[in-house]
Parts: sequence; structure tokens; C-alpha cells
Amino acid sequence: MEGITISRKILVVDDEPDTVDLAKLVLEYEGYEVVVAYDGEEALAKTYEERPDLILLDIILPKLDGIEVCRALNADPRYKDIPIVLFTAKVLYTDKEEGFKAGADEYITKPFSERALLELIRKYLE
Amino acid sequence: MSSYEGSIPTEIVAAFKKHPGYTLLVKGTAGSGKTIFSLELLRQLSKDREALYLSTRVDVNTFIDHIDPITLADSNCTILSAFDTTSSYFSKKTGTDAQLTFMSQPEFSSTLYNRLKGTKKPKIVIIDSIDALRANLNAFDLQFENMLLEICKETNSSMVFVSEVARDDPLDYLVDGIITLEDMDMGMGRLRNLVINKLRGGYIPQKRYLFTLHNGCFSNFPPYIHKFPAIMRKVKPIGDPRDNYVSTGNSDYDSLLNGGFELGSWILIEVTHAVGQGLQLFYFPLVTNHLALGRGLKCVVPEGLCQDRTILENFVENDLLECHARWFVPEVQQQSSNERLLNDDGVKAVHEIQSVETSMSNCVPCLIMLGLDTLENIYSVHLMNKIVARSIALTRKMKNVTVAIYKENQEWNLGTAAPSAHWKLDVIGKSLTMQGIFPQTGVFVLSPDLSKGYMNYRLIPIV
Repeated sequence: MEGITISRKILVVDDEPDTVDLAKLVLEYEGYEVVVAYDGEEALAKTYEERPDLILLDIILPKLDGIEVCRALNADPRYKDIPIVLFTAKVLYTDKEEGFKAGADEYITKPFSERALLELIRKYLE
Repeated sequence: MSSYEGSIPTEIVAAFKKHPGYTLLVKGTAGSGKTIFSLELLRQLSKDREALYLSTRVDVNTFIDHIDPITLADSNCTILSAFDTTSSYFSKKTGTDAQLTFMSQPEFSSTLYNRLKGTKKPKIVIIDSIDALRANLNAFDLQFENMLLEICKETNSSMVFVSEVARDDPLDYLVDGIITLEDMDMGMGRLRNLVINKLRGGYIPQKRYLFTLHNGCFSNFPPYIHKFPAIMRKVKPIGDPRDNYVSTGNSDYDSLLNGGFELGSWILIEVTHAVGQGLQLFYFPLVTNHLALGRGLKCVVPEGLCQDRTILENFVENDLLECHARWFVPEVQQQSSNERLLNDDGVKAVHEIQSVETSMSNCVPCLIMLGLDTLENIYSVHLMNKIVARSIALTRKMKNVTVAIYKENQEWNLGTAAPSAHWKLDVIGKSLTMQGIFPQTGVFVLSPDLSKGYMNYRLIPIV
């Protein structure tokens, strides 16, 4: 319908509040609806509750790490189609490989530019 | 409160949370910040426990008048005063009265015990100070201290003893933790340190922390860890605060300088070896803000920071970097239109750096960044006095602003340089600090502020 835009929902998961706030600032400015979580368990709970269109997921998280969150979502047919972008300070090739095996769709290493992040998100949401 | 205000080392708070009945001795001379530290500890712990602050030094009203009302309101604690135990009993809880009466050591112990045993909720008691209490109650044997610790155990209370005596204290062997607050006059500025002497059952990642009592709050500074914002964004520039001045790219520094760098000034930034990449936290805001305002930048990159040029692309639009920035290098490394080869003659090189190219004539005033270590390595130490003198003269004549980075381990030792101002970047107690050598200032901590997606900092004075 012309004139009506549906906001796409992104779940941002990081244990560093500064990074979550910054991601929220960037994504909301672009018109996305943002929900946040600060650990792996909360990430799963928010996914079940909010059903985001995309998940930005840090790897190193309290309670349940990002890889385990990926595995849990990938194993559930209701959520396995949600694109997952791992964003992390971990730079080892093995981490990347493990992330993809667990069901992640993209992998981006911190720090990254706002433009690179938005291009990646648009690839999946537009 | 700002984000940095109101903080104490997390390991101290964690020790109290992990171990019920934890006891801490806080030592320090008068004015070292013991009371403000204790109130901050109360504020952080009193959310889930009943708090009692016993002041033996001043009456309640004086005490309340002298502390930050926000800290007091947040701490949600009862303030009791017993500064004269022989005649009067003072007590005050904000809004409600509470009384602690005692005349002698047994009476004090029994009143305190009865006051604390009432609830099963964990409690924290601060005795400020144990020395005054001992004197008032004439209690100079270990029996009194043992009694207090027994009360802690019996009533599930944690206790903090504030002491004005820095030397060994009988409590040293009895309490779980000891911290000392140091207030040092360094001649050119004050330094305040929190030293963790003992923390039973807790891990001590860092023994000594720099702290400030700025805005009436106790705030320690965590170790400086150099990093970029997780998501790097283009700078939203701040304008010049006043005519004939150029913004430093940082509001706090602009205010401190009463309007930024004056046109024609030549600023020397001395950098100690420990600062390392931390230098970027200082000069990225300056350079990116200047470029984002559409002005020119000419740069001889300090040694070891050559990758900065590519990082800048994340914070400044590409066309501004291409058109308004010039990099002067000893040999051409990239096929880039904004790269210039440094002249073999050092003095001529300075002329070329300081002069305005026709293509940049609308980008004035220019900011010149000079890595003096790079120039020394290229032209040798013998030419440095001449190069610097010429650079200072040309900066004044052209009404540019030059920021020269000087490394403490350079062979050239400033010689006859006569900068407009001289600032020193250093690392003290793992915190990144800055201090004015000329004009002389106190010590400031550069606290990173990456919340907007680009490099910036807060300048926090040590007071």
C-alpha cells in the first residue's frame, strides 16, 4: 500500500551497553525498529517474544555465547530463517568458520563502519 | 551524574556483595576523600541492604551540608552522628528521626547491636571515623574492635572503618580489606590515588587507581584501553567557540582553553612512551572536526601512526579527505593525489607544509600536524631547532594552527623551541592523562567517549 512503510525489526545482542546504544542509534536513525539483549539467554527470549527480521549477534556473551544462540535458533524450524549477522571482536578464521557452521549468515569484525553495517543489513531486509 | 561520575573499583563492590559481613578499613589523611568514598560505597550497596552511616566527627546538619545531595539521596541511608558522646546524641534520617544513644563503650556496643539486629536484611555500617570513636569512648584496646567485628557477624552486617591514621592499625589484621587514599601534591598538580592494600577473598586486577572528587563525587578511572567505536560513524563537527580561534574538536578542551587554539599558535604536545596509540584519542577529534568543518589539514604523521590515514575515512567524508588533506611523506607509498613528497631540505619542507596551495585557498585556516619524531628521523637532530623555529614563525605569519607531536624518547630535547603552549600526554595509574606544562594546569584524565560512533573524550580534572 502506497504511503505505508512497515518498519523492519532488528535484534541487537551485545554485552557492552555502549555498543548496544550505538547500534540502536544508527539503526533507529535509518528507520529500523530495534530491540536489544545483553546476554545469550535474553537473546533467545527476545527472539521468541519479538520475532525480529534480523539478528545482530556478538559472539562473546554471558550465560550463552553467540555461537550457541545461533545453534539453538538454527535447530528450531520456526526461527531458522531469521538472518543472523555475527559482529564480534574475535578475528580468528576458525571463529568465522564455527559461526557459519552454527547457522550465521554473515560475519563482521569490530570495529566496522556504519556504511558497511547498513549495506549488510539492507542485503537481507530490502 | 555523568557516566564517569560515581564509581569505585568494581572488585571492592564485588567483595562486599560476595561475602556477607565483609569488613573494610579505609585509611587516608584529612581531605583525601574518605567520606566521599564511603558515601559512594554506600550508594552502590544500599539498594539491597539497610545502610547506616555513623559520623563521629561532625553533627548531622554539618555533615549533610557538606556532601552532594544526589549522593545522599541515592544512598537511601540513615545518618547518625555521635561527635560528642559524652553529652548529646544526634541522629537524623532524611525525613525520619532515628536515635543512637550511648555513653560508654559497652553502651555503644549494645545500642549498635540492638539497632542492627532488628532486620534480617543485609546491612552495611560505616564508622567515620574509628579513631574519633576510640577517643570518645576511651577504647584503645583490641577488645573494642573485636566487639565490633562480632556485632558484624551476629547481625549479618558489613562494616567500613574510616581511619585518619595511615600507619599500621590494630584493625589491619582483623579486617578483610584495606584501602588507602593518597592525596599527593606533585608541584605541578594534584594526584589522587586509591591503593588496594588487601582484599581478602577478592581478586585485585590493579593495585592503584587514579581518582577524582570532581563535582563532589568519588570517581575512579578504569585502565585506559585503546579502541575505536564498534560502529564507526562520520563526525558531527562542533564549530569554533570564538572568533580567531579554532576548535580542538572537543568541547571540554575548548572550554579549558577558553575557546580552542588561537590562530597563529604553535602547540607542542609532549607524549610519553606509555601513551602509545592513546595519542589517537587526543588528535583524532581535532583532525576529524577540522576536516568536517571544510578546512585544510597538512600532516607529517608521527612515527608508528601511518595507518591513521585509512582509519580517518570512517570518520570523515572521502571527498573532504581527498581535497582538504595533504600527507607529507619521505617516500611515496600510495598513488594518492593528496600525498606530497617531503623536500630533501628540512627548512624548505617546512615552507612547503606551511604555505597554502592554490587548490586549498578556500580551506583556511589550515591545521598543521607535525610528527617531530618523523622530522628528526628524516632530517637529523641537528636541524630540529631550525625546523621548529621556522615552523613557529610561519604558523604565526600564515595564521594557521600547528600541533606538533613530540615524543619523550626523541634525541632532540626541545632545544630553543618557544611554543605558544606545551601540553603533556602521559599514563598515570593506567589512565590516560593530560597536563598543561605551559600554561601550567592540574592533571586531567582523558576518559574515552565513543558513544556517538567517533573518537572523543571527556577531560576530567583531578580535584
